[in-house]
Amino acid sequence: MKIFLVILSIILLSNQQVDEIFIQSNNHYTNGNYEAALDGYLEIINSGFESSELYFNLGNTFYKLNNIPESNFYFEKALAISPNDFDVITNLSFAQNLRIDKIENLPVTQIQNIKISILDLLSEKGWAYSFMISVWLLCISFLLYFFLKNSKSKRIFFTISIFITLISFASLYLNYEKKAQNNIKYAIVFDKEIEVWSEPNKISELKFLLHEGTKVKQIDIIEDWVNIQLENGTLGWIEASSLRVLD
Amino acid sequence: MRNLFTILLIFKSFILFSQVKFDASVSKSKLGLNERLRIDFVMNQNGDNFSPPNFENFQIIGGPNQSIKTSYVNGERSFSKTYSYFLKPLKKGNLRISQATIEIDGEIYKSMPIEVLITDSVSQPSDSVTQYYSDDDIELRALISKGSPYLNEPITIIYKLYYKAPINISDARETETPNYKDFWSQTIKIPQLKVQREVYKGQNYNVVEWRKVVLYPQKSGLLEVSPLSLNLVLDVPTDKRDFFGNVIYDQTSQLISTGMRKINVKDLPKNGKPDSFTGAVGQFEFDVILNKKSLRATESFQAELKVKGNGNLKLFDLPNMLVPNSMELFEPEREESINTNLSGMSGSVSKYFTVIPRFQGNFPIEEVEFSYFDPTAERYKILKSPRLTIDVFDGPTYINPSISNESNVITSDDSFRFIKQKGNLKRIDDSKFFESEIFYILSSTPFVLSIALIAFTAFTRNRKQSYSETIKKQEKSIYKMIDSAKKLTNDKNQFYDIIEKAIIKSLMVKFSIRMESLNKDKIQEITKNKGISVENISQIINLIENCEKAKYSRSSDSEMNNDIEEARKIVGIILKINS
Repeated sequence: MKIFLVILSIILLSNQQVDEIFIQSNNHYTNGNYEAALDGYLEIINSGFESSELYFNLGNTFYKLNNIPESNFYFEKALAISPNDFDVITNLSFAQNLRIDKIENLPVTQIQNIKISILDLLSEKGWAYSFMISVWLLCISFLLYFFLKNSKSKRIFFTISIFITLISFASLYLNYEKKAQNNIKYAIVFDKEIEVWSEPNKISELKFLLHEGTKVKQIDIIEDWVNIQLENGTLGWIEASSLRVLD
Repeated sequence: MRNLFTILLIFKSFILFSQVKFDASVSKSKLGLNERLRIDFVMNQNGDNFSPPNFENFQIIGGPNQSIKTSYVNGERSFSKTYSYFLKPLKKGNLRISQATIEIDGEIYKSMPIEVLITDSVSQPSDSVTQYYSDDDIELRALISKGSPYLNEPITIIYKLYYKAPINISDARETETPNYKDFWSQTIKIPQLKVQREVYKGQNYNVVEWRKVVLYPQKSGLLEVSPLSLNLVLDVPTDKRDFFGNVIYDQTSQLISTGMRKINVKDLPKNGKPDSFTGAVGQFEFDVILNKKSLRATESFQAELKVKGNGNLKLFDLPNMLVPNSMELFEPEREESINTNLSGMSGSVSKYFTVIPRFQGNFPIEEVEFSYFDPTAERYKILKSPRLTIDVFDGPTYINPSISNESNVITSDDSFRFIKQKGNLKRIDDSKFFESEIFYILSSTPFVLSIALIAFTAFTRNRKQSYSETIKKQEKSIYKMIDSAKKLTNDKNQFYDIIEKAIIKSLMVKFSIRMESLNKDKIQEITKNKGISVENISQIINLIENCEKAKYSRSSDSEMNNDIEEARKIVGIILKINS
């Protein structure tokens, strides 16, 4: 019990400290002292904290320091936590405007769009919780249906439990979809200019060049090489050292 | 005798006359392009109407010179008449001099055609027509500034004509212009040929700079520069003097050449060659100049990449600019202002990029790298432009359609968002909830619980049912007992015993009490607690008392029947209680 209290106090204390550092860094940022703000934000990350807001502020700081890949990286991280934050979307597009590569996105169908926006409503954990809650509700409503004698309330709880069954199946499906979505790793190019090859070696055909800040989808990894896909669907191999994975 | 001698003489001369010769001979059958050739057409009898061949591919420098020689040797007369031409070949190769014709005594004779091989110019024309000056007196030199330059390092060749007294040059024409294969060349104009004096080989010479060329080798290795050949018209003094005692000058023409020159071009060193190297060799300065620092979106600005200095400015590409993808970059324009003098090209080359930003933001312009090889320092140098930023205001923000559902939304009032003030910091949590153990446990518990609950209720219901069934059975058995008592009307004792037992059993079944503890008071107590009406209780007690009394007293059959009916009624009442 004593040990638990000590641990709790440490956590609480560092939480407080971290909040202080955050506010300090915000002040540095406001005063245009971007390097100092950057140090503070990075310290927070190193002490094991995160939040969409922290990543967003880091992205902003790197943007102000004209660091294209880092600002893209942290805006993407912020967006992964809160996919519907319009501030993040706006500033990410500013950061993307700085990139040198111009990649047309593949057209997304209306159904895919709807699916993505539904998946983005909750985090992976949120979907798991929603499934659990719906399962509990299902059981409760079924028991009510089972034990109530009144035929009117029986009818009501029967329909309710069928409805909740559908919901829980849907949320289970969404759970798996979200998991699959989260298993796709994206990465940001950090080198000024890198070569993309048609095979994972340097004797194959050189396909094209990529520049810093570009976001790529990581499909496969063989030793030091990563098979990547661009947003326009083009495939190629890149040396892993020039990428930083978003996770 | 004298007559005979004359006849013999005439005869002899006839023999001679009958052998007409007409030959063509050349002074050389093989000669350089800058040398000259003499061709003689010789006949041993006098002829008329000499027609020379048309000297194709040759230029007639002198002639025809006619000479007649008559000599008497031992009284024999020999005659020869010669037509001589001085020829200069116009091109290389195996050239053919065709036939000449002459008419001797009404007959036409033809000479044999002659073939002459013309080779490349030789540096020292061995053929000298006039011997009044020595070969040392005139020389054409090609002065190369550097014998083994680097690739793309400028070298100059100055062609100088040296001559000294007593020769004077009255005219000069280029017959062979050097061709600078594998070089980029530029001839520097000499407005007027000037004669200067220079000491060369310890002697005073008149010097004329004939031609100045700046060359940039474009290939490494041993490169050849083909010779320059001049056809000079010389004023040469003769040994004759005029009436006043002045030396009479004669004009002759002479070909003079520099000969083939070789230049060994070194390749640029391989190690330390920067990636951005595009072939610039020299000494340069590099700068990137933006004509605007901030502008509205959809306005244009110009970025100028400027390389200034000395070197092969015309011969390399300027680096390209990289701009963010949201800017439109137009094809660059190249502008040069270059002077070429003896030390090479100098000046500046600029590349103008017109750029139109389409979205607002603060855009960094990638630093541009320019590298060149400095041949004097013999190493590569890299110049980088400063990192410039351009501020674009008052324009739309591009929203990535993959993030937003509304594709390509462009809203004009979107500006760069300020940082968030609230941290909401949480410990980084990598744990997964979905498909974790807790997830499985928590999501399966409701099912387990509800199944257990349903099973439990089903079990209890079942037990209740079986309990009521046993009661029913016992009720039946009680009624049977009462019915069996009917048959025992003759044995009074047994009859009342059974009735009493039936009542007690019914009470036992109903209230699950034990037989031993039963007495009247207890029954009264229990039945009262179970909420049986007072009337019924007294009835029960009465009946039990009756039964006990009847055991020891006489009673009629009708009374016994009455008692049975009574017992039935009471058992019915007991069993109905509380169900």
